[in-house]
Amino acid sequence: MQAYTVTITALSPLVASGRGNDQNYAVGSSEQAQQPVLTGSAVRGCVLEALRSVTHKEPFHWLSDWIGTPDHHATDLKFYFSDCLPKSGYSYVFRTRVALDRHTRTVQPGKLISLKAVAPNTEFEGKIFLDSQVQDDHWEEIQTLLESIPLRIGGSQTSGYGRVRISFSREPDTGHFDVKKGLYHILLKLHSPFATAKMGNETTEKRYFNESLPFLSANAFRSQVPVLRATPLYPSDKGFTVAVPRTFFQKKYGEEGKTLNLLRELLFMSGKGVPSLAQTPSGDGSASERLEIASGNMNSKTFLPVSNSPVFSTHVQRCPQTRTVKAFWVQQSYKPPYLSALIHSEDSLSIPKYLVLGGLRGKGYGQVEVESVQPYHEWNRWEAPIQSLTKFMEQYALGSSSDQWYIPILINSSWVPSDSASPVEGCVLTPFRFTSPVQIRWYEPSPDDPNSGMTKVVTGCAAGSVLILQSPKTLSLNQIIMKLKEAKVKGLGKYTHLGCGDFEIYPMEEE
Amino acid sequence: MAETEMMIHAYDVASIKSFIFDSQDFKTIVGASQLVKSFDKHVAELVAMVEGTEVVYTGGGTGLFLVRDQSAQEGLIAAIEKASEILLGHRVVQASIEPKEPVLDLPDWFRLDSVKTCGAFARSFSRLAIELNRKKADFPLHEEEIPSDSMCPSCGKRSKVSGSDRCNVCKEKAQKGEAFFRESSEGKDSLKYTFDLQRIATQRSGGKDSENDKMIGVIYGDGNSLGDIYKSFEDYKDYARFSRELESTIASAVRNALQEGQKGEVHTAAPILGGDDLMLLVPQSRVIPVLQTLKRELGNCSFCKTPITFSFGVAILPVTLPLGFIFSISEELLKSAKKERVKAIQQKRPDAKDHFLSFRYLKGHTFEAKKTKTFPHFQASFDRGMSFQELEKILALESRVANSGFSKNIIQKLWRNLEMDPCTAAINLFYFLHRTKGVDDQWSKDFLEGVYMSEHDWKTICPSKKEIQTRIGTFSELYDLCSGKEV
Repeated sequence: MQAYTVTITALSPLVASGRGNDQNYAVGSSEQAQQPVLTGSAVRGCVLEALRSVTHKEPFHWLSDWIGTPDHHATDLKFYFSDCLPKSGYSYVFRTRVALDRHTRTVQPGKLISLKAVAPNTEFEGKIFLDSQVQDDHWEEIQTLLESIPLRIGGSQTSGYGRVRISFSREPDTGHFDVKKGLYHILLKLHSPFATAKMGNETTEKRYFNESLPFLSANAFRSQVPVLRATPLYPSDKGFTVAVPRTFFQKKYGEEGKTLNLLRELLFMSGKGVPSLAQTPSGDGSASERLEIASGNMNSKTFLPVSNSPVFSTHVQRCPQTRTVKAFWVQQSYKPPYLSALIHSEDSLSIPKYLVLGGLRGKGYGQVEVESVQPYHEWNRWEAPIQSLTKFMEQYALGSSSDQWYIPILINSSWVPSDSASPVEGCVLTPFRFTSPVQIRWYEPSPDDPNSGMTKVVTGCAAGSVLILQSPKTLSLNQIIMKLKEAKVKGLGKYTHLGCGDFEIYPMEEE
Repeated sequence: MAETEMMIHAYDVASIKSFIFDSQDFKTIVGASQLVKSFDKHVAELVAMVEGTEVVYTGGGTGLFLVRDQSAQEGLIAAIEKASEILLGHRVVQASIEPKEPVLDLPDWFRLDSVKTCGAFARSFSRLAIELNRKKADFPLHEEEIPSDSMCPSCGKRSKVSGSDRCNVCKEKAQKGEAFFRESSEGKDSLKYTFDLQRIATQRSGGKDSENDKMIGVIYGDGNSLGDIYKSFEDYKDYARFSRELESTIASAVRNALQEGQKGEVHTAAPILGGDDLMLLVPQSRVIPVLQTLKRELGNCSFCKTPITFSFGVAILPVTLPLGFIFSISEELLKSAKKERVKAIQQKRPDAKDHFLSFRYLKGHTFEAKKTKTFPHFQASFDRGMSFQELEKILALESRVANSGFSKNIIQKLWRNLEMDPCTAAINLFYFLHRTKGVDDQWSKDFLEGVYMSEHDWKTICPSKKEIQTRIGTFSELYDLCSGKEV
């Protein structure tokens, strides 16, 4: 894909909505992280409308194949717009408007409309990703056309709002990332929110509200890049992200973002049958605080949770003839700063720098830029946690020296056990486990009939589950780690090609 | 069998949340909840017939029993397994422990609270919980391939039954839900439970197609620090008595709150009503009156020496939102209310012993329960919890300017004013309010101190270095709810 930087300059006040706005105003511009945003969908709508107005003219007949006609929209779009954010500063203008009675031409009582618009001259910047099939000369024609005709975006256009000027500049180097055979950590920077359809509940009559999962599935990546295996794409703070273990707790009503790693406590309780309360002790006389199991994702090195708040966007589909709203829906999506995943390549591979992933790609969702692709090295840190747990088990949970290694496993993506008794060769599952079930569902189209297929529903062990494996000390720690490395590359259990079965060695803290 | 050899036995419905919320269809959710209720009741009846056993408590998908005769244990396990057929094959785990307690010494590095300070009952219950959790971790694995056109559209997990548009489980749940609502509507009681949320939302406005018809009020309540009360129980009888009394107090408080001041039939829904939890769906105009009655009624828990308080997550939401989402928003707000209460206790504030709530009026498709707007000197956290005392103060302020010149336009000006430093903002506030018809200086002062700069230390020199918390977000949303009229 070829990327261009899009600059949109407001020539008159803008009230482009579509995402959350200031609720104090009847009409307001979309805001994200407390600054105005032009959503990819709004920019796309503005550009398509301008292009559709010229498709009937002789030099632009070919455009109909790209974008369709006013009566028939093309399903296969060739360009994808990202969210546009203020380039530097921005300010708002506030207006109070009145509604007029059409018959008397006088002000209708009580019909005041308060409006919060982005001030003229504000510059917004975003990206447009162009399908590689698009011919350069075609794009140049479109570019010249869009830069030369007046464009309008957002609401209140008939009142003079939403006039914009658009310009494009080609990204100097689209580049790509070459990888050889092996396991890599890929970090993706998000330019627009992503959406993944949630499993089940298809019928809720309330189809206007579409929920999304807080991560992208492995298949979303594999459908764009031919890797052998990928893990789900988790939100990231620019580091390597893992699922928060079910043995990490947080204060139920305390400050967010602080977790306690309680694996040792839970193993001790489980091993010795000693009960305790899920609350912090009140040593200093203050009230003790209740704890709950933490969830979500965290940075594998700092153990700090990665924040991932949902983004809600409103979409409308207008009737091409009457311009009235034909369909309306709210889409839930997520926009963390980065996404992190592991990919396993079997051959040399070139990963494009720009990708569009997940659902609703044509509506401006899922635009990512590959930030880095690094060989996976986390296994260099696996020795210490195994030694630490083995020592702990001998000293506390079992109370005697043992001829076994104890290996703490953190399930990082849903694990569906295979028929074999052991998840890792040479290791046995102990009764010490902190797991929860999850239902995984995917669609497999029929090879004969593209309109029918099977849906597979499987119960597995949810990401964040913690297992303790044991292996006889007749094997050296290096030998164990080699077996674990093999399992890591291959994935645990079944359906690894769908992203299942990724694991990490549990982050044991130093005693 | 001697008393010392007695066993304590318990069951727990595994993944109860997923069983109830498999579908987002209200009928099905209520039906699932009713199935759990029937199961608990049926277990109690069956176990009562097993000799040598005693039912301590069943409810909310959990049960606790005493087994005085070892031979009775098999009968007990079989009875629970038999009753679990009601749950349509959903998993129920069971565990037993001996009352004899292990040595309770914890090592120095152990960072959890010991059960040493707890009563004997709570100590046993903690051990049972460990056993039940261990059993839950051994969940069965299941794989199924379903033709896509046969997939149950309600849960998206099972295959549709032939001749029906749903799977067997969803069908049974929906039937149970329908029966529950039918019984409620056919009965003589003026309180009618319904799965038609639109009907709940419109009953106050006479069904006219107004903005209010599109919104519904959700009240999600939960008892505060009841764990501390449970912890003190020495005897299982205390636990059973307390649980029963609490449930009946809540049920009666809910009934009174829904019916008070209402004439004729009252259409409502209570998807959660058990243990110390309650969730009510009411028309938006009834949210404040219902909360006020709940506060009064729940304050009369005479069966407990320690006063029991509640926290509430309260939201006004579009009636068309999926139910699962409505629940998760109110759950988050409940958490915000509880957090503020913990903060009040830590700061030893005078209102710490009050009920707490967190309120949001979510319109315009901004469906986040949590929202914070940061200004250079101010922070407006819309979801920040508050005590009922604070709510009442805000409502009193709203009432005092009802039908005056105070309008949403003034709120917008005051909101923009927060971009300035606190001194300028305060002076501007007085300027705007002084020019507003019907607003006196006392109101302006109360508004400044109670809402506009609510967590500002007025003893410090203005502007304070600390970020000042403002309640204007909550004030504005409560103003939206009251539409500028007297509450």
